[in-house]
Amino acid sequence: MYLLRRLGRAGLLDVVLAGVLFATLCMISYEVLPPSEVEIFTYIVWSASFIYGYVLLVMGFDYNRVKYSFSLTFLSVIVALYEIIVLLICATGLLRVLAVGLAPYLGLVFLGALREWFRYLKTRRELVKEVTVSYTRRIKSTLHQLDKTMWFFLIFGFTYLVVFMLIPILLVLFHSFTPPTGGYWWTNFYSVLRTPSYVNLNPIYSRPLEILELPGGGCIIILRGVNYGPVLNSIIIAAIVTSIATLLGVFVAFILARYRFPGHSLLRVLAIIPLFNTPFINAYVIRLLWGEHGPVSAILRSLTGCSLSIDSLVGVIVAQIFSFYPIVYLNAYTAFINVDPSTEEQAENLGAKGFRLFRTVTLPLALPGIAAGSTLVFVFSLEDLGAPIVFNEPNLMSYRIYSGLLTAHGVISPEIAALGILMLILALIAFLAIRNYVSMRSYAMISRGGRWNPRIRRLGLLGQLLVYFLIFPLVVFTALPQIGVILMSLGVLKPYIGESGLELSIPQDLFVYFRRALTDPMIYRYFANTLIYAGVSTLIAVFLATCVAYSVSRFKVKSVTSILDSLSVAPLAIPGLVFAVGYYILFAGLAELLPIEIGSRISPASPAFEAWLIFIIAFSVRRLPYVVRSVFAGFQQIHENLEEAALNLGASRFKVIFGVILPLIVGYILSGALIGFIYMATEVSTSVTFGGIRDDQAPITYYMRMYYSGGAGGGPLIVAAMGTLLILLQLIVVVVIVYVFKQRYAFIGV
Amino acid sequence: MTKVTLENVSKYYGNIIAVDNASFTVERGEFFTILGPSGCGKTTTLRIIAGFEIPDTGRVYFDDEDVTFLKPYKRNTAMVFQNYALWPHMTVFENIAYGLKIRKKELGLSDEDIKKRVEWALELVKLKGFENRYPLQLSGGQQQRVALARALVTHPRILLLDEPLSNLDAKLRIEMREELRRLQKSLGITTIYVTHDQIEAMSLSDRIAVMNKGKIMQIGTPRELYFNPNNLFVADFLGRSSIYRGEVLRQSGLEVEVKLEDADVIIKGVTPQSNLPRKVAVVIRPEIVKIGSSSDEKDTTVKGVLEFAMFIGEKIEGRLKIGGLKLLVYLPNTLNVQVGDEITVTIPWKNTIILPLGVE
Repeated sequence: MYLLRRLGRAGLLDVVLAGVLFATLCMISYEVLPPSEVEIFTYIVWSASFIYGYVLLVMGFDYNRVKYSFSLTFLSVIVALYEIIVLLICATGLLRVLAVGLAPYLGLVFLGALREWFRYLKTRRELVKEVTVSYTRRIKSTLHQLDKTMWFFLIFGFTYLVVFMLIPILLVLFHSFTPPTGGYWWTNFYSVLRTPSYVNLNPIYSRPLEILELPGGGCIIILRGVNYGPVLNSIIIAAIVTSIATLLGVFVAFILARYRFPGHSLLRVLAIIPLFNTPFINAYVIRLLWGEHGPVSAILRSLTGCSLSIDSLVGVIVAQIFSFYPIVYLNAYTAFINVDPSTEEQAENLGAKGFRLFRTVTLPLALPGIAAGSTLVFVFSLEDLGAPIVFNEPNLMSYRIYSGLLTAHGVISPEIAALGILMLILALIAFLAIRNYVSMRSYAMISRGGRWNPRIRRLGLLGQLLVYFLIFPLVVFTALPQIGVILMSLGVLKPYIGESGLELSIPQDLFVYFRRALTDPMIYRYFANTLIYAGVSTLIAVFLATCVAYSVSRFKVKSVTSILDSLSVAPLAIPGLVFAVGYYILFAGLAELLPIEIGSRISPASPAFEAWLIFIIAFSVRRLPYVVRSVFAGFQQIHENLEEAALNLGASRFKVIFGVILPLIVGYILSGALIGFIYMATEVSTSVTFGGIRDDQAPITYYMRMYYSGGAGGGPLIVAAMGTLLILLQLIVVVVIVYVFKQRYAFIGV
Repeated sequence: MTKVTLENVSKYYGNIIAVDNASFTVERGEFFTILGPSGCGKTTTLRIIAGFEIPDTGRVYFDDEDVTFLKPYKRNTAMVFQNYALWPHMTVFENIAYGLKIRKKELGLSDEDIKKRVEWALELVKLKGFENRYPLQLSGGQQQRVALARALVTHPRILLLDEPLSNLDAKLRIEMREELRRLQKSLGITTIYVTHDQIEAMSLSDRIAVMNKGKIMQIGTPRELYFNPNNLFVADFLGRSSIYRGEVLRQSGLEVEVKLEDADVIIKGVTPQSNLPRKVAVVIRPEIVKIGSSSDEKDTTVKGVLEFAMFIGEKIEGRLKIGGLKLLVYLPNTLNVQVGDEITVTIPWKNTIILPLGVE
């Protein structure tokens, strides 16, 4: 009856009702049925709930409503991730009830998209019939675009990416299906998803917060977090970090993009500081700052009499929020600047103001940009190694993969490969969903060509108070790790051994640690290694990016270019550790195939392993998207007519590209090269995993990982000096890009 | 000098038909224009001739050589783009010399030769002394001339011009039009010109191909097209006209008598087609309509009320209401008329064009 009544009018209310209905059914089954039957019954309810989404569609729910609404699409991405995770880890109880409740919505979106796709295919087939071009002509038409240069570009681009990206990933995939003795092909995934050592839904020791009474009076609050096993921990942390970093980033970006106040420029500079990447030492400083003797603890002590100490999972969360929120900030800032002010003015003209204006017009228009930033944070948080190592938290996917690599003697445990694949899947889902979503909604940029003055307002008294007493301290606080690194490198800030205390004093010789970092022949080698690897990789990446970007922007066979395009941005969504595992398997496999004298040099298990090879390949592939984006922007800047004019006058494609086009976009290429270079110089995942095999060939980040917390003389202070040098390098690059090449330095979007 | 022949050329973009079975021949030294509204496929046709696109059907010949699949850089055509496509990082000299430097060996040119040729080209477009400027330092008209010089300096077999005047202001456009005509005639180079501006097309061309929705509607000299359009699209697109639907009463040879649909008027006219369908269109250009009555009994004389009049300098543009019809007329600027006046006009039968309906 109800169904009939709502026929043709189904709306969101019906989706919610269906969700509640199915969830209740699930709940009741827990109470009524014997445990053995609950499992199977809930699965049936779950499937029914999912399929009910199609009923809703048939009842007239308009799929386009989801497709074109920003919040609904966003919701569906999150729901999809949630459902997949619950299904994978086979969670029961309330987690499953919630999943069942959300299933009608997911069913609606998924089946709706599927239906639309089928309809599209059908109409396409019908249309194609009208126009028939002979195949020979089609092939000739394609070949016409392929002169020697184009052939080379396409083949080189594809080969490099397939051999050094696709094949390693596929090897990890195959390896993850290798059964352990007595197991099945899915055994590895089963143990990664269902055994308590990876997924533990009922943690025995679950005290996120602990208050210890100190013998001498006073107390100490220790924040640790609950350990649900590495897989869930990683997902939960990534979710928390992404949400908080997004809120923080959007908030700061909005204030900076829309308001002017004294100190505005200073705040803008401060807000970018956390972007300067100083592996390990950065998290180390955060640990000190939030440690028992740090400033946060001191403030809390003066208020409540208790000190504060953050540790393990909570520590990782704090460190990651600080390191990654500027990614959202920069993306959101650009997005806000790019919102056409006339759309806001129109809304104001119609009577919207204040938060309502922000919620209904500004935010939806800026959301694609913000979503792109958030996704990157999600992926970065999943694959981050620095914070877990510094906070000594092995119960994370990244750390497990890392230790799995360190203990692999020529053979990687298939379980680690399965873990890597899981991480890859999570990152890819988030990335692809958002990429699809963003590409559909780039309306914030619709009239990008026109120069407009973004709407800028002055702040009222309340606003000023907010800025000076909340945002300024906040931003300064997020910049403290980098400032701390610099102070430490100068010897002003000294950690006590044991990582517990801090001391501030001005030493006599400020540059003693720099001198040591630069003159010590041991340390000098790491520097030199990094510069050589990053330099060579940059050259490769720039050439590769030119091939890829040119082919994608000029070769007019959509199926080919879209594959190449996807391959070239994919490294953004592929966790570095998965690359590391892939290269390990690839090179170990190659070593077995080749004769012993060559094999021993490329086998990661052998002491003669030529690690530099892997660093150069890994750097060039992993940082390719940054370079490609810049070069591609250059090619898009150039009207195709400029090229055709030269072709028309008799210049071959090679002469056109190298004689006419590249000189025109040299600024874009150099910016891309510089950005690629600094991200290569600060690369962590492959550096610390393969650095251990041949530490004489290791790059600087490997040294930083080994000595950030003490060890051979000076320890953290020397690492801080390296960090400062890295900051300096990044600062120079930013300045050169912004002031010499006049390009916007923004973090990469999806 | 080269003859260009297109034979059944079609080009599709996905399911959109850009060029639909186009065939024509451009004679040696001819100034040939492809005229049509935007999106009619005229630029695509030009790009097929230049070799930037491969036609999906049909062939392209330069003289007797089949160039359908020849790469653009081997065709020795020279194209002037709508946006000029000057390379902003090269000086005027470097821009013009580019095509010569590329073929230096092939043509056996020395640096001195190149310099002389560039000077010759600059003189041709009256830009001597601008060698060392960069394109961004030049005005739109000057950039246009540089683009033209760059195309002409290589002595191309065919000159291809893609709406080269559309970005110039009105006065400069008229000036460049004359200049283009002069250059083309003095060099005698086969030229294919693409434009949507019928005045440009008529004033410049030896022959025009009118294109619509990928199809070539009619090819002919400007006069032929204007006075003897053989389909409604061409009649409507070129010049201004009043067009009425009607029914054929009688046809003898190329003379037709038509009863109009929306008014009780019978009009006599001529047609290019000997066997007209029953439903036809009557095309009357405003400039043929005469005031007063006529002695020729085949002419149609009608009375109408002046519904609208606009003084535009050399004439008065007016609209007469004749029953249910509206007739566009040009009145002499000395005539003292007011809206609401009744005017008697004559429509000469020899200039009234009757065309079949339906074929757009």
